[in-house]
Amino acid sequence: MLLVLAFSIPVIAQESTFESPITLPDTVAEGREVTVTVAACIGEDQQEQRDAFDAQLARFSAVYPNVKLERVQYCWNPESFAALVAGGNLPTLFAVPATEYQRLIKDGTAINLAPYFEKFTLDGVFNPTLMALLSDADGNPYGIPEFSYAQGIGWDIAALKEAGYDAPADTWPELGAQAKALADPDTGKAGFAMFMSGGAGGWHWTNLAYGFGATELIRDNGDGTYTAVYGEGPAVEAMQFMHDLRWKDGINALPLDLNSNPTFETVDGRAAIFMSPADGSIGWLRVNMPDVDLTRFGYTAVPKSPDGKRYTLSGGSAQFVFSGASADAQEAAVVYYLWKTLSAEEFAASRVIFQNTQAGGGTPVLPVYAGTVQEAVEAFDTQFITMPVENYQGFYDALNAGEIVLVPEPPFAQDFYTAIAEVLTTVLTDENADVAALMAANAASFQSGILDVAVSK
Amino acid sequence: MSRTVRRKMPSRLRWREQIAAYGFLAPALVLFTVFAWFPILNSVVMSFQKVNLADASKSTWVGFDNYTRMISDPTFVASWSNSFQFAVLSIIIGYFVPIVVAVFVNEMRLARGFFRIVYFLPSAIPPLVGILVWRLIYDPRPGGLLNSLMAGVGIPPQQWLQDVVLVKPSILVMMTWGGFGATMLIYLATLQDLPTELYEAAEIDGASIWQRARHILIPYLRPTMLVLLIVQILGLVQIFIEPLVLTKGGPGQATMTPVFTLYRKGFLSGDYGLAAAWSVMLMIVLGVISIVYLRLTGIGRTSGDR
Repeated sequence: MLLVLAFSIPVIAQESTFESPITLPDTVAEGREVTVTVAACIGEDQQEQRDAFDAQLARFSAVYPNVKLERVQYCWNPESFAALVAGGNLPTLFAVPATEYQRLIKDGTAINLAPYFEKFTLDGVFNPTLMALLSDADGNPYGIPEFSYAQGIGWDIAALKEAGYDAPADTWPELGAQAKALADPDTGKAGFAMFMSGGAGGWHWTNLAYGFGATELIRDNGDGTYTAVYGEGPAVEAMQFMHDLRWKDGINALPLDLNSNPTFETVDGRAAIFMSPADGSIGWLRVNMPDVDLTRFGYTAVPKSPDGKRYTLSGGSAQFVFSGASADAQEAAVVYYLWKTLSAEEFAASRVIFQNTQAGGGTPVLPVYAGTVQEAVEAFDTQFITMPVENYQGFYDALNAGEIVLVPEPPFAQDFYTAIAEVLTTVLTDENADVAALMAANAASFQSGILDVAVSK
Repeated sequence: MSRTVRRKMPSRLRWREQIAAYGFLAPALVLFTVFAWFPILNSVVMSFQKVNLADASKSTWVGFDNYTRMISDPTFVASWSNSFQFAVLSIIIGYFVPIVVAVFVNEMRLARGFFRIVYFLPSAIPPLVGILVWRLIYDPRPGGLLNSLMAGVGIPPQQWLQDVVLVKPSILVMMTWGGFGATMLIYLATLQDLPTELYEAAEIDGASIWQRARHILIPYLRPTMLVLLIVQILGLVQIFIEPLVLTKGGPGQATMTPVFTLYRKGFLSGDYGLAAAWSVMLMIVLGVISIVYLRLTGIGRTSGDR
């Protein structure tokens, strides 16, 4: 999720001793004149950051005089993105959220970056788990990660302490029991909040399904066909869990408003525990609602599944190069982004721009890089921390222990999220809903109505 | 009915007469071609393709596959069924509201202008703002605005937008609130064309307001009512922003609508060919309703056709 700062963090960048892992070329596009448009999502009120961005573009043109870089103010949104692609007006270098990675790869909007990864020896520079999400089935990389997060669990520290808990439980069934104990039916206060409707509801529920032990929801048969396998097993248990949170024991542990935002519910004291990626919740609050006292909230990783791992869908954003641009512009765009993020000269300036235009410093997110590059990034970014990171130790412990496992989005993700949200909202509004029957029926209709006909396309 | 007498005119003379008219028409024709007819035509073409937005030359023809997928989609029947239910319910819930209000405002001897404005005000509020306000009104918690009012008369808290039975009426009440003011003005304008002597005669004869409405007003309003009914149905087939903002199509499939599904397929799933098929289907349905509308209003018929 791309975020825009509502205020600027006053930061004076320290000198960096960053050692670049790459060797950049002496010339780009064999010296031919080329213009590259670069998308930048920087708020209207952030003139200082815009100036810093533009200054960096100018420095690149000073190094490569044949390349003219133009900043284009653009924050991704689905409606305008489609029009820009169709009109051939997409910036040469642009960022999209993680939900779009595979679509861009499959529909040819983004170019294959494998030749550049090979030329600049980028293997091992980026977090391999993220690169897997940014690559096609043959392992060709199409995007360069810039930011990534996992789902996690936030909580109202005082509310849990009052009920005798130090932190959210470590498995979903235990967390469910906790949520029941924390709920207050008289006021409508929820013990646990998550997105429950629409695509976001399906997206959140999918994390639960993995947390209950599902290993796949839509099986890729490898021959161009797919099978919906969520109509039985752990996925049904995950849906039953939601049903029981709402109805069992006569206590509703969930927010009554199915369209509520879990973070807002918790911040406003209407929920005790919530599921959300950190950048979209506590990081978002730091950026957009700086008056909220973030020391009130803790944040940890999602509960463990039966095998002890913490499976989670991920999110974030990555940079892509538009296939509709000229070959020279494509090359210049790649070199510019690598120069910007990985050159010793620009590393510090880029981290400052990134930190001042993205989520609050110290938000528990996932490493974008690997090895020494990641170590350098973390060391440099320490100066930007404005969040109470001591409250997020559980997340970091799980991350460092290798317990957090990123799972890719299921095939036909958006259709699936919408379809499963139909079951979710049904079981949350009908106490007598037959969960197993609904899941089986939904999987069957998804198979015949979406998967089978998609194959014949 | 009179018949126009058609006389054969020399073609050169007719062209000269019409060149200025076409000149005035040209800007509108160009704009409509670029922003309406070309996109419509392109949608029809895309509905038969697997669309590659980045490079249109790489779009491939898939015959009727997109239409097959549209009809097979689990949300197809639900979306159109919901549209039909919204249309029927809207007639019950909202259709007569502007008529009744127009009749009462028309009956007023004092402050008629004031009430015209008051009733029209909701129509002046941006729809999204209105929807967000109604979201607060429909807050399902015990302390929600409407639930608090209901509690005053002993009705337990209701899940206005979370209950399969209540969600459609709740949305229609909201839509009626937002739209009835403008419709009321149309009825009021029609009523004010009513020959006053007819109405005064009924008053002198001692007819009650109900008798005046039944025997004079409603017969007089009937053609307008029919036309506005079609306009209302045209609007209801295109419900989009309410499910998008309030319900995300739920609970279950209760508020899935064709335009909402079209939006999801196109902009969220990136399946532009399938979305185009949905849009063509929608265009056909709206076209049929519009033809009925044109027939009822007589628009497009010249005096010579009558």
